[in-house]
Amino acid sequence: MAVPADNLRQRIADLFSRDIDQPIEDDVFDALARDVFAFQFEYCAAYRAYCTRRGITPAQVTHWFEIPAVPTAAFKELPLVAGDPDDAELVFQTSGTTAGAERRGTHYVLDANLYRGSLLPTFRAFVLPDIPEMRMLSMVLPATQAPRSSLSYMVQTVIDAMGAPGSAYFIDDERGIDVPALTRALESAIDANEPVCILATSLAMVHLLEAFREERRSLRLPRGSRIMDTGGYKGRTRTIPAEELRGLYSDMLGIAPDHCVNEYGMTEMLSQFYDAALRDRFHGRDAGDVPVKRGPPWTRSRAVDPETLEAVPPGATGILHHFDLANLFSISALQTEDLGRVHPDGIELLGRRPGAAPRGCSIAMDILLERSHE
Amino acid sequence: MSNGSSFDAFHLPGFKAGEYDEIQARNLSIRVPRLTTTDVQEIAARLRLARAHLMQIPIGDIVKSIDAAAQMFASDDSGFRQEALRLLPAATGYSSQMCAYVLDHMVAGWRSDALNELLRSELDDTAILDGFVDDPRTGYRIAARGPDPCLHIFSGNVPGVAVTSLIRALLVRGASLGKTARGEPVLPVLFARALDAVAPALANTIAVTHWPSEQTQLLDAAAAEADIIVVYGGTDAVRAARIAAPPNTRVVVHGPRMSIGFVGHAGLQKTDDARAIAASIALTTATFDQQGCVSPHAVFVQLGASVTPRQLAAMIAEELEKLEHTLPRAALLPEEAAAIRTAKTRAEFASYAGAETEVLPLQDRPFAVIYDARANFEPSCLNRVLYVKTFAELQDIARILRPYRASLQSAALDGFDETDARIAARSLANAGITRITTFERLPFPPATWHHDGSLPLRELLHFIDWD
Repeated sequence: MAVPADNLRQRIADLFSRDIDQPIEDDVFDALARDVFAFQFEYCAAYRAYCTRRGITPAQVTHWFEIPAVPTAAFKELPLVAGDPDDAELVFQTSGTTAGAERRGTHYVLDANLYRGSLLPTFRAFVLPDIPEMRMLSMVLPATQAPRSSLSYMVQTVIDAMGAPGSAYFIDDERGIDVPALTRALESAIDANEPVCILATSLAMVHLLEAFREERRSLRLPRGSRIMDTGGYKGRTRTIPAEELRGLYSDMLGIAPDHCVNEYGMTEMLSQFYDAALRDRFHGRDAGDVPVKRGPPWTRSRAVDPETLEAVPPGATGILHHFDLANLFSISALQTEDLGRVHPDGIELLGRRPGAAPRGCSIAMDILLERSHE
Repeated sequence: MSNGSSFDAFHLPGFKAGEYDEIQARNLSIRVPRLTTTDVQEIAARLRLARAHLMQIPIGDIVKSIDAAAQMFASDDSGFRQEALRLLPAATGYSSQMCAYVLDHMVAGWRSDALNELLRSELDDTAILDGFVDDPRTGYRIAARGPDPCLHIFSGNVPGVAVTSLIRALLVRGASLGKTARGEPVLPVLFARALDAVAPALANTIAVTHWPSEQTQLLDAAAAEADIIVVYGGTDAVRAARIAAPPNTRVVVHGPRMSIGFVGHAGLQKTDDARAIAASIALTTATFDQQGCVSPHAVFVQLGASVTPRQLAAMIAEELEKLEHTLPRAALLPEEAAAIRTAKTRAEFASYAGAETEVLPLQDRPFAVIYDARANFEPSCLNRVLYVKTFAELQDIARILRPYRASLQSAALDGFDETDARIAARSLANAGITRITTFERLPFPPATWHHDGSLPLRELLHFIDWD
């Protein structure tokens, strides 16, 4: 019999309230991870079938590495939930196509407290390590307009908890980004010399920068201002590499590269990863050789060979597996489609590459991905 | 895998490069000149001069010279063929057996008989390329002019397609500036060199090199010099070409497309017949590891015969296993392997949700047949991952394919009697398919095909009316 949900929930909540810089001992993480696996194995029939087919049961697992990871794509096929999906407090869906040819992944969140409990201390640690609250300017749709977006829920939760007066949304489902209003808000922040925190997808940032370029506008935002951007994007014309985007943030908004905190998250996982540079700088730690992203201690990551699913040597490239204790009521062991490397101080993301890389005039997911932005 | 020295991946007659860049193309290091926009203009000017000489050469002689160059890629003792087969596996990732197999089939389309057939099929009289001729259909005089130059933007998925594109331009006395893909920087360069050995006047009308796609100013410069642009590739490449093209410049697009197959119940009554069909489906799926626009993503199998779609799927998997020995799959990039993992897992979890889906075989192999009886369709992630779908009536197919209308290319049919085949062909033509064929012929269309529904030679021509 699996450990009861309340026991697990409490042990995980205890981790949320600890200092985020305090690592969780390997044996503590491992014991909890295996208990969580046993719980999910018992209460999620599809996961049980998946594990059983691979000859793996909780009794046999001696280390959390051995817990079968579920590819995030599986969330497109059926509810992966340790419990009853009808009991979900929140239902999140991946962005999808309107053509309906590609299904959306759905994450049923039975306990919203686990999501808030994970996301708030993590956001604070990586985006606001130096200040209790800040004016937040969002180019992410409000949750009322995007009730199934986990990003919208996250942004709203963050603004409710850490947004200083004047925090607002500058995007609307129908009219898109309100560049004039956002410009006014940025200019008034400059006049008041109060730092702001822009919350946006990378795509929204590109739109904003394009508008600024057309207007030949560039701003110097007050010292301490920052951007939390997220997500890949596929431009309509020519895509802008991440480093170039950083350069544009610096040139056109006056935000230093280490104040641009890129978030890496996914609908299927309740915890997030962030660029560690701002936090490390605030704590006086040297940045490593490569920019890394780091998650909260209740997550662990490893890179595996995509063909054999064997762990690759430390620092080698593989597809990323994450284990997220916050995913107690769905699946904690997740296999992403992201290529990356795992270093001692964080993960190095080598880009999200959904679908195959089409080598030319054949079609893979190329066309489908296009549609999702139109 | 890596070659000690790098390959000079350019053919730029008369052009003196200043600096060079070394670029890594998978396991092959290539060397290309570092170009400026002025260089591109100079290269185009040289092509125009060379094309003026081409005007004196009879079309028949051009065909003979192309044939002689093609011969150098056909015989085992030719240095050009040997070099192609040494470089291609490193550059493309394809197995050496695959490179030889694909090259042999591509070369067949570059020989005299195929080229003469192509000319006949599109131009009643090649005299139209020499000057004004009386046109009986209109009653006035018409001439046709080849591109001066044609800018070709090549893709890397199917070795040889780039050479076919250069040959098409040559046949209409067009000059060519070819930008190779990093995925296949080899064959068009070797072909130009082979042509140079037999007919320097022709080879001088071809310039081929590679530059990174990020250098959009070079594409802009090349597009400004071209009077026709032919682009092969994915959406990004096609979009970049359209952006670079001046408003009046014709852009011939061979964008991302996919092919599909159908097996009717007439072919599924006897196990031996089904086995033979499975073998031809496996071979066409394995060919260029499914990377071609002519590669099948899915095969729709009719219900109600003695061999079921599920049984045919298993047979295809068995045949793909055999091909691993004779025509092994490429070593995959991590993202390709990850995509396959995703496709297989989705099918597995769909079965836990109650869908009739199954991954064949059960264990991981360098191929997979995903049997999926649901009435939907998604493109494959490729690299020998084939969906086997079911259908009862052909009419159902057109509805499923509708969202992909703009992306469809060929359809292979087997196991239909003549009446059903006619019904199927008509329905597929309406669904957006531009070629109906057999599984055997699917990967290698005849030289005369209406490539993506158009006439490839005529698309390279400007007609001049004298009415």
